Amino acid sequence: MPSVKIDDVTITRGQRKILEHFSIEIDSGEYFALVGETGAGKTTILNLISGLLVPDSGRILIDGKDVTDVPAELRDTGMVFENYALFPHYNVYKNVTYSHRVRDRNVEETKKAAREVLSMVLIPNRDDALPRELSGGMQQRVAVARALMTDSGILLLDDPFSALDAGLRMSLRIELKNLARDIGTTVIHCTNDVEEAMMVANRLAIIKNGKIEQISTPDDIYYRPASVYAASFLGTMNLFKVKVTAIDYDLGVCTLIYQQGDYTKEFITTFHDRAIPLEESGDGLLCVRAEHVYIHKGHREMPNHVHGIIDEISFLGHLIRLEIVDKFGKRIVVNRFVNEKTRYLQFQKGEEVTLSFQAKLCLLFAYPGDEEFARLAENV
Amino acid sequence: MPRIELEHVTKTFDEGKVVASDDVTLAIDEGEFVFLLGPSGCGKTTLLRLVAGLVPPSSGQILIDGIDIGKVNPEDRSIGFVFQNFQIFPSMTVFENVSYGLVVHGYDDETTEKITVEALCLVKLENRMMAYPKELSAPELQKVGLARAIATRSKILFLDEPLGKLDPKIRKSFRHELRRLIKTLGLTAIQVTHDQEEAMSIADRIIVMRKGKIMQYGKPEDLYYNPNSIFTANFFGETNFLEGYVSNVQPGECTFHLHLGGPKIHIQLPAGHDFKNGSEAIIGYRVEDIELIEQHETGEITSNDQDSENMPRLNTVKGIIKDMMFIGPMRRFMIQLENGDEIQTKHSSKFLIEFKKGQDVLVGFHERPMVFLYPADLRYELSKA
Repeated sequence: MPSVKIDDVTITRGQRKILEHFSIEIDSGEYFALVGETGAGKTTILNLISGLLVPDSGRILIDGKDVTDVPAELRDTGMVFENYALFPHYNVYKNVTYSHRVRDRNVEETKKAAREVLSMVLIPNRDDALPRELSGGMQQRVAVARALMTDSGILLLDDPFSALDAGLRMSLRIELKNLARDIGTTVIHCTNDVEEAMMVANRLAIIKNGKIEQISTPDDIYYRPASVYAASFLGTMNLFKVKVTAIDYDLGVCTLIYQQGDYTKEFITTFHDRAIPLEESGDGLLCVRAEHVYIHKGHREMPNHVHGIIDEISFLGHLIRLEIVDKFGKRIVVNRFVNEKTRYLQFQKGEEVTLSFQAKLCLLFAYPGDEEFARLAENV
Repeated sequence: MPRIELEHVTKTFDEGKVVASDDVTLAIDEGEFVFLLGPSGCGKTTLLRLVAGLVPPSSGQILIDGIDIGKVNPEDRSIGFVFQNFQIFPSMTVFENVSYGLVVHGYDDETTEKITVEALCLVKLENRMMAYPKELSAPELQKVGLARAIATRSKILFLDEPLGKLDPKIRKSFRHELRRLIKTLGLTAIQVTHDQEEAMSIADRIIVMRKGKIMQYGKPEDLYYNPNSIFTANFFGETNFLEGYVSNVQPGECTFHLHLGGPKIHIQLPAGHDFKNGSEAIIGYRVEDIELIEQHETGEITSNDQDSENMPRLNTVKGIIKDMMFIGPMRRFMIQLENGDEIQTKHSSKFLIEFKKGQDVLVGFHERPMVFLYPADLRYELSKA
């Protein structure tokens, strides 16, 4: 299982720089996810690693060896695509053994290897089936098996589950994660579904316009995002423009004022080192995740709270999403986790509620300016 | 009075070999936002096309406002359409795309402009009227599609996977905007999707389909908490199904024995059940409803959830933590029970005791699971899922 390194790569298409001085390092045996919006450059990065794309400048290293000029067929990375890309006229066995057959590998060894990967992906007895006779989930398992037949020990996944139903998507994610760990493959998994990325990956990189916005473990990005973009990318985020009134750098605590007209609220929050630079009496951007807002019935006074009226309630099974409008028409989204014990506490549309948040779960950044704020707030 | 009614509608293709709609009877009320949901190939799109009058039923009747849709000329059917791949004319501006239908219908310039601008204001595209489709983002393109449907002034709107081409994050915020718009205009709408979460979050009612048949039709909460089949239970949310048999059967309760010599738990039974002592059964627990409890050497226990009021009596059985995952707001555990069954649990990451891989835990099953008699094809059903 090799490591993968992209070193200072630039790729230009016409006038547009898709990647500019882009570098990233993926450890051997790591399950790594690339997330970003459509067009952020994720697939380009995969294509660089597989050799389908040659950089204008910079180097690609696999296991420390420079492979920039090695063609795709000799890099032999395993690829899995959203639309499976199986050969429709080949049966399962021929699809899976394709790369071995074109290389004229020993027939017995090929057979043995195919047996092994097909049982790993839980399709042991469908050798003669054609792709169209299989369900979407089965086809994708065959595609994974085919990718595992390659020699490189690298598995590249380009949005592999987005064509599948929700339940299937969930179980395949877990299966693939376990499989990759058991056989020790290095996996690079592209997706625009951040929940998927957080679930499968040891580390992930958020890509925005061809640049790395943040690269770390899911946990670290979730609790200590490097930017408002990274913070919002990992879920629904409520944003408040606030004035920073006092900062204690030693404790990492500050006081804020949330002001709209003559309505003011004082908040106390912690902040982490990535939020700096913050200025005393400067503007700040307070971010509170929808799942970190606590909701209480009625009009109550408590630390870090705002009052509002419930405007919308939607049911998501294990979550209830509530939209609350505060005195000045600001919309605040609350995701309430519900289960057998907590679902009997019900809220109604039009009900007055008090929202509060814990100081340590708030995120604070420097205010990005009115225009950027409006853009970010629109995407809550 | 219902706006849309289907009475024993059947549609077959290939000389009866493929049954896309199988004796479908249902009603949709005025102003209702209904979702059609089911696995690929279950007949959702065919049903939508039938209601739109685009294909005739093989038998049965489809009424819109009491009138048989087959007897209405296509151009007189007052139905707006929104498609997954937008279907926007690339060579026309936003304004021209939205006003196209009005021009074709012979509206004068002034009326056309008024209606078009109104529709574009509703979807908040009033500043992009002169833009061409290639200058627009995917969500903006779908807003054009919506404005065009609104501009037809139809009181009925059909949407076929309208959010399918949008990024997950945008899709999640856009769906609420979509609902607000449909409700503001008082439209009766049917949306096809394969995204359960999308349907649950914005639908008034959901039609769950499978192999051309309606499995269940109801509010999202009803489908989630009171599924009438294993299929529906499995289709919404994430569920652990446990196999076993029952004993001690009383009118409202029984003892459930997990298979392979697993533990016994006490459960409630729905009124009018068909269980007898020894009946094979399947019970279902949502992943979020199972508790994890830490047992200290002193015998004292620490529960995972802070709120212990309203607690139904809890059955506790022994398990071991095989794996855990962090998914932003959620924590997820894979647990193996004593009989070898593996289950999953899901908890808010807000309140949690720190569990470790390989640790022994007590698993708390409440007394009100979903309960099903064991039908013959069940194992097959579940293995397919």
